[in-house]
Amino acid sequence: MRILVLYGSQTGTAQDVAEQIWRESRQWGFQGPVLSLEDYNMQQLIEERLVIFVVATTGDGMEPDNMKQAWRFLLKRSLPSSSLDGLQFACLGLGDSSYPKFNYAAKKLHKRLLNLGAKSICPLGLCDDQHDYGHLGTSLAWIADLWQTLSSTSAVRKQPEQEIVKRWKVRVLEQQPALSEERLHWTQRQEAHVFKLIENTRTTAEDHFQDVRLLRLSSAQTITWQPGDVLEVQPQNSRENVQEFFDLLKEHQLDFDASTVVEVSSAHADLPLPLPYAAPISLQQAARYIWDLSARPRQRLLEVLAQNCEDEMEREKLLEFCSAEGLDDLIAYVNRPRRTLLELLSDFRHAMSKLTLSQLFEMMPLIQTRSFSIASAAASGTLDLLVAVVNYKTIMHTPRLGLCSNWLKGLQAGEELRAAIKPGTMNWPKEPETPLIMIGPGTGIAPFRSIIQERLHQQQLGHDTGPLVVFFGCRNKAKDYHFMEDFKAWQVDQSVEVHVAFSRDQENKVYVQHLIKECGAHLAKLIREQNAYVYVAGSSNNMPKAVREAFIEALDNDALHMEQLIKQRRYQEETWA
Amino acid sequence: MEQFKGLQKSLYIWTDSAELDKRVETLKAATGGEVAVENVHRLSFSSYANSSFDLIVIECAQLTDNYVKLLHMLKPSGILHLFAYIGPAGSLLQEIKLSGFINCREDAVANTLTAEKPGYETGSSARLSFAKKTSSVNVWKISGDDEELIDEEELLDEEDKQKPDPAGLRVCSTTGKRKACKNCSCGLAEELESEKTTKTVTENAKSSCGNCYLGDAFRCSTCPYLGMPAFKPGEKVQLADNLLKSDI
Repeated sequence: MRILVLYGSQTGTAQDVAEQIWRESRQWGFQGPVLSLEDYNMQQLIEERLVIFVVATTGDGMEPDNMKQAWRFLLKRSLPSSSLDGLQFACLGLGDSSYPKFNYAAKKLHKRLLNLGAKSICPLGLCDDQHDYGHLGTSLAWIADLWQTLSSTSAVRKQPEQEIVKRWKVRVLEQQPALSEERLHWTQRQEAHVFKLIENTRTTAEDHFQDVRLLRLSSAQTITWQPGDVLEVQPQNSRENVQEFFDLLKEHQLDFDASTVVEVSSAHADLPLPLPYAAPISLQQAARYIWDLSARPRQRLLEVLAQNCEDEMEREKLLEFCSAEGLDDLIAYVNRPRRTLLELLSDFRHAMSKLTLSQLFEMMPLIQTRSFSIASAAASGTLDLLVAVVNYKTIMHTPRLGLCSNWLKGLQAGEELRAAIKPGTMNWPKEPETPLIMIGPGTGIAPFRSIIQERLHQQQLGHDTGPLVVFFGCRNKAKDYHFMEDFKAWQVDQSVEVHVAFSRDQENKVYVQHLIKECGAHLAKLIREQNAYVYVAGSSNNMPKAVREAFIEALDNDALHMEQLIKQRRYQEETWA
Repeated sequence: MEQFKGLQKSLYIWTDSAELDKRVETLKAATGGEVAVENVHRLSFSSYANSSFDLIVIECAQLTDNYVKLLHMLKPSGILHLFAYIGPAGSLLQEIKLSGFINCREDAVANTLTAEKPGYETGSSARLSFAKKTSSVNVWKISGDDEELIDEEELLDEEDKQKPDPAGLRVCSTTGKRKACKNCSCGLAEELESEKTTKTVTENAKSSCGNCYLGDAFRCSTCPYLGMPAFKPGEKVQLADNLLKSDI
């Protein structure tokens, strides 16, 4: 019987869960593909009988990029409300309840499918990253329920033979073809532009705990972007990690090494091959450009690693981590210390000594792209990024390093970089006379420098533009005052109304919300009388909430008015965890 | 309204508050049963379970009302009754039919529209059938990308927007302790780490379980080597020098 598994995934987690469901479906005798929503022709949905959707929510309430087109299709008003009355489906959502719009993508999809006449065979599953077990806190039980429901209400039975399901076939190429390295710098669907890195400087003081980088890029191609747009980059593993990986292979005397060249193909007619595997590659290239060596291993990696392991103790432990009983231990061993897969491979020596190429390709997660708000206007001539380098300690011996931020940190001026420009989530008012009130502490200032530069540029061209009010916050004026020169210039020529809070420069903590309270009446006037738009960007912990409360207070505690502003997109938050 | 005699549970959806009480009383008297009353703008579909009503009466019904929802709220064979409706009868009837109602008819004299929910229940625990469907809609036509879209914000009601109870997210017993968040960029993780290493660390640490060399997956919680990789064959079991120095 046919089952279709469709996913909308931003970082690969929802895809991983979907693939797990797909593998398990075969144990129940189902046949069918697992596809991202952008790889499936939505017009065909009307012919399907059984579909499982695994859908992540990204940012605050947004559907993942590979779901956008499919979602637009489903929103068409012309689709008759009984179109899908032949469809039975189940929907599992992956989200994070620290965001207000928790799991909105899955919730909306579920509703829309019901509205179109489809029938849900299981309650909507809502996974939460805030759960101690992450999504596993909900997904494991939901998936078990799914098979329970399907097996009790339809003619499917668990297969006696449990086949080992692998996605790819790997063939070593003895005659090594010419390998293109350039192609591997960008293996995404969307086309990238070529940039040259002009500048890569640390903006924070050397004795400040965090390294924050200003990167300035230029392009020979004529490109442009809107304020609020983001730059999507594809990072590479560090030389150290790549070296460590091959040292590990060498130590165990495996019969493949960095120079081995392979051709990867799909083991299933209806499973598409990922773009990175579209041409033959060497393991050196895979380890540098394709596999995420610093990713946290997911259960699938442990399960595959256990496959050829002859040491009982290691094998049992790996499989225990994949079981419901071993979840606590898995979280303690992998999640909490943020253990990387490279570190895990170093710990399971017997399993590693029996590793095959087939296992390797099945296990390794692919490097995901990361996006950064563009911090300059196209008119300024360069594309600027403000990047906080991720470097923190857990119980692990070595500090945890963010893959992308550390890769960017290591880029040298003069180097080439491929990246794509994508729209951001901020909507700017059509009328340039509309005042803008922007709150962007820390790296949150990035998108606002872009819109401010653009507005000032428009002014220079002779157009009328409305007042610009910006709130910035950091710890110390002398240590992490990003874009200090810009702020000074704006203050001097009074082109922008600037408010800055240095939280640790005095005894008591001063944050942006305090500054907002201080000029509440002024801001309320701009909002009420001049239709001002308010934007909040930055870290998603307490700041957005505190800022929102400060504005509600400024608006005479009218929470309903705030709700209205949010609904009208006159109060927008773009925050990141 | 005499045709509704005997219907136990009805829902009256109103728009115009003038003399509302009188109209509700008339319905109550006609059916002889309970009548729930809701304003069309405040009606939250989530406050009623599916298959709750024998009859739904809606005044000033429009084309844009959510008839699919009303269908779900009706019991099998339940009745939908529209009066003082807005718009041409033909369009409304078609909309109601497309929403899943049957026996959709107009009473031109009384100026009302009536329809019924089919007698079988969808979503019951009967066997799932994957046979070919018999709906009239077999193909989705697309007429280009600039087609009109429904407002996705309207899909979710207040109940849908609920967030999970934070208590339900906790499993381990370490709640309440100072814990650094995921991508700690405020320095707390560092502080916690330095607090840990300023505790006395012995030079020749003794193993209490004998598994130190195996890696964190097999080490006990008091192992001094936690956080370090498994030992390679021949490696001396000794703490790294820098662990003995304080981080500050």
